[in-house]
Amino acid sequence: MRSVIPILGLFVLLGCGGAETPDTPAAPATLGTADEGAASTGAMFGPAPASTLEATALVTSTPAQGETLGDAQGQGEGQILRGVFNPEALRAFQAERSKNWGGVK
Amino acid sequence: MKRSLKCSMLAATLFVTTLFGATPSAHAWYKVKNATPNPVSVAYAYASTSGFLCGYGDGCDDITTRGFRVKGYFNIAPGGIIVVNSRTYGNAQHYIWAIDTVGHVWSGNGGAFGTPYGGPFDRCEGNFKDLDIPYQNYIAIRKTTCCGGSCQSDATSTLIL
Repeated sequence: MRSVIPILGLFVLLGCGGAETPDTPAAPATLGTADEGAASTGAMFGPAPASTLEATALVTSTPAQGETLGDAQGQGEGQILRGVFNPEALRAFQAERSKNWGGVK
Repeated sequence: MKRSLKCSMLAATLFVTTLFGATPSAHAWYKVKNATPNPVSVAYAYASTSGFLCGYGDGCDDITTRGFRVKGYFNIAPGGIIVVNSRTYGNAQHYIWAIDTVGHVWSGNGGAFGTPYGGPFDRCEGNFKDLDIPYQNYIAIRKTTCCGGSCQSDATSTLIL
């Protein structure tokens, strides 16, 4: 038993309490959207996303019956995600697919 | 003496396993469930940095500006569920974007990631050479990483209409 105590002591000292590391690495920047102010300060890359694809999913915190409970750490994002009908997005998706982006690394 | 030795070994094993947390366990995953009547294609971005006693390498750690790994597409049949990451959920940030065959889109304000439409793809975000690919706004599922023994081991996101 005595041998266990130092190990547990070391365990505590090294901070194994589930410490959170926010935004590591930096969260991506939102590119040119209305919610830019809420985004993190990550570098900006690439063109602004197509406006036709900016429909925002409704995010709730109510898990469906029988579902694994989601992120319980209060970050504001639940695990039940509602899609938004956006036929233009589908058209763009299918049109771009024909350009054969596959294999891009 | 023997008992003491056994005890020490057990504690040491628990100690190492708990601290490192990098070994996939039976309960480590991030899953996406399709609770819609339509097939859904899911693109997934995550970031975990392999560090001292924490996390795992996502293969994009050398991208200094944005070390996210972005993969797709995970095609999920109606009612289906798929594991998109089999490592400890809490050790990484997670973002998803999805579209179904009818025109429903799951997007958000979590951040924009290059998302090639042709699929399958597996890339590191932050490569300037990839700037000519379409970017989509992903939903942030988890924005932080966690180290230590009490990190959340698994989670499931459910897509609904």
